[in-house]
Amino acid sequence: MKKTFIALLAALMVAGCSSGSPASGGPASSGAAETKTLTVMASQGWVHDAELDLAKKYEEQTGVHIDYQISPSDQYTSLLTTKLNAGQAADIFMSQSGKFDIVSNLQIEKNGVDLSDQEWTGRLNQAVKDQVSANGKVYGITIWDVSDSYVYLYNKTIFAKHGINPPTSFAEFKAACATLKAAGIQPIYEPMKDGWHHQLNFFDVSAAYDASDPNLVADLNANKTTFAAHPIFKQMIEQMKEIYDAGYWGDNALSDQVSDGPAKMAEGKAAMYVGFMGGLSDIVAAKGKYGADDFGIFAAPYLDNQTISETPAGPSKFIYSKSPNIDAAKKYLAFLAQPENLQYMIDTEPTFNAVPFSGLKTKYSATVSEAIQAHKPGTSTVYQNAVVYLNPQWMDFGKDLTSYLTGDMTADEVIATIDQRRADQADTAQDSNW
Amino acid sequence: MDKKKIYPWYFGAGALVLYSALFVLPSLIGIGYSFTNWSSYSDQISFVGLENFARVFSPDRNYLDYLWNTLWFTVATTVLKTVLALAFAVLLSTGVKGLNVHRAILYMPAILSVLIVGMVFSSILDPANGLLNTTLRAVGLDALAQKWLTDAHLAMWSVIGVDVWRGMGYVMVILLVGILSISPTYYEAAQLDGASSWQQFVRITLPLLRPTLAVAIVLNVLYGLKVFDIVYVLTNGGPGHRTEVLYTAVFSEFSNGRFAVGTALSTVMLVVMVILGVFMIRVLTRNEVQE
Repeated sequence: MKKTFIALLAALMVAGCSSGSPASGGPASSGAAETKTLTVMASQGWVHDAELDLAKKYEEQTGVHIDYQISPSDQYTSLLTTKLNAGQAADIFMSQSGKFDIVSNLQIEKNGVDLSDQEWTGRLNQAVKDQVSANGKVYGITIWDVSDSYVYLYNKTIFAKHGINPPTSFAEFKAACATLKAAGIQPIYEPMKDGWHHQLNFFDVSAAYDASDPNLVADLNANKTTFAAHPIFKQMIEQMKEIYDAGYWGDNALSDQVSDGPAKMAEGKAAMYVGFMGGLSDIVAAKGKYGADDFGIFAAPYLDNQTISETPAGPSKFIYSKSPNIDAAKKYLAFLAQPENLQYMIDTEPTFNAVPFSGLKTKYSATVSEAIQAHKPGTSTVYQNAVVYLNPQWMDFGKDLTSYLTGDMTADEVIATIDQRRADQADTAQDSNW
Repeated sequence: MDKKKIYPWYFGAGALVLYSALFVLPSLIGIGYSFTNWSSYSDQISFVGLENFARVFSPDRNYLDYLWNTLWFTVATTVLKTVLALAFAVLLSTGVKGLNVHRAILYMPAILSVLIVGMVFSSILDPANGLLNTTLRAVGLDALAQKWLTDAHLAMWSVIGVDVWRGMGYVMVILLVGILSISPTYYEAAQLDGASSWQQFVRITLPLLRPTLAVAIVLNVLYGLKVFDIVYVLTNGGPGHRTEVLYTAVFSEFSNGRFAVGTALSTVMLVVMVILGVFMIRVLTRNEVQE
């Protein structure tokens, strides 16, 4: 009897534990009055106050509450993938756009809703639209300032004091660095600790790659050629190593952090820094020795590049195909895309100078306008958005590049590894071109 | 042996079922997935045989370097932690003033979160403004100021150093308990026979501490093989790939959506750990002294 009782107790404990563990969840809002609340999943920093204002306005007009579910940025991608795989994503989910990434990472044709018939798609910039489209269908909306690109921000006053002009070739760039270093000024602040910054140089000189072979992007995407087969890529990282070895990135580049960049520039401790054009406002906000008028912009001068490449991708909104509120979600996106609301975003959000829709008033500063006019003919797209299977290896490539700069890898190995990772990714995605 | 005094099997059944459901089963499922092409890019999962393992062991890949780094970290931290912990345990097992204070201070790093330890040491070891280099420069030892976490030759040693600082107290406590459980009569008898302190340590403490040492070493080795957090927080595998270990590689594979390669790497580690664990326990407890 006692034995039976104990066995029963043990069984109950086990049963209790096992039935409680895998909470199956089920659709989070099933059964709720369907169009009273719309959920939006986003990563930290992707939803600005201006958008929250608009969401409030939308609720007042329609009675539909917009529930923004914000997650930390380092966890967001895996959270989104998990939710999509589990069939539990929000009505609207945000993700970085990218014509290749949305197909391979988000499986957008399965998880997204075709929005091609929406009125606003006619006003959305074509290059930006391409990055949220798959097989000719538009799946997302990018309400983000994608007109901005990474450039070289430089201290005009320091340059002038040492008789240096903004470099128009790699030779001039090296000479400028040498002059600055000889004068005791760190030529470039290049923060490598964060792991994502130093490789910007490599990806932002796409115009030079394009010039070397007009079919290069198409051939790389069709797997007709490789990075290793084109010496220009090796030449690019060799030029970076020349700059690194000469000490132009400073003594502590490996432990320098991105967050210190604006302050270093504002204080004049470094004369150049790779940042967004809009990043000029961060330098000014750091309130150092130098102010807004002291800074200028030029294009990454490696490989004699003189073009600021387009970055047509950014945080975008997609409607979840399994959402019970697809029509309501479409209405909300249409509301956000109304010209007066887009203009409100530009006018209210300090980091936005423009959003990629026609018929709106931009608010570029004179310095940024000049740079755009001089260096941005709009003919070249940053390589991570132009070439398939490149963006996902951003961080790994950064590590390889560091290994090369510190002497642990050769230039050939770094370039060959790019091809190897692309092949791995293509294999994983069962890409028929590979 | 009186069989009536042994508890019936079902007393362990609950724990066994839970352990199987939460540890054994997921491990087996993981091993199963390592033979597939499971990824975040496709719903289709198909059997690919040993393809993932071929990739892991291919000389064209860096995984063998990461395995080497993992083993290096494991051996170095195990040796350093065990030797230092043993020395401190012996010192703190006898009449020292403020005994418990010393013990508490040495144990304290073990209760700190790895994340906090990592952030604090990142700051201390910063080459430009870190406490260590600033202090060295202040006392005129400029030559000793190093790029602790970013110099390719020093980074792994710095990570090992921080890990030893953090984990030594824990091992010390285990060994201390072992030492305190040795009956003082052995030492009294040895002293009567004129044995020196060293002789007492070698002839009494070490042999009787062997089972405890075995546990401490096995725990250290398994911890070392599984290391991820301290490396991730301090160097994230850098500079370049210099401090990359297997579990940072697993993390990277999972982050890139290549789940099957990640599980293959985990499977390799599981097998290595099981073999090493069994082997070490066998060797270390051979001819064990039974009191």
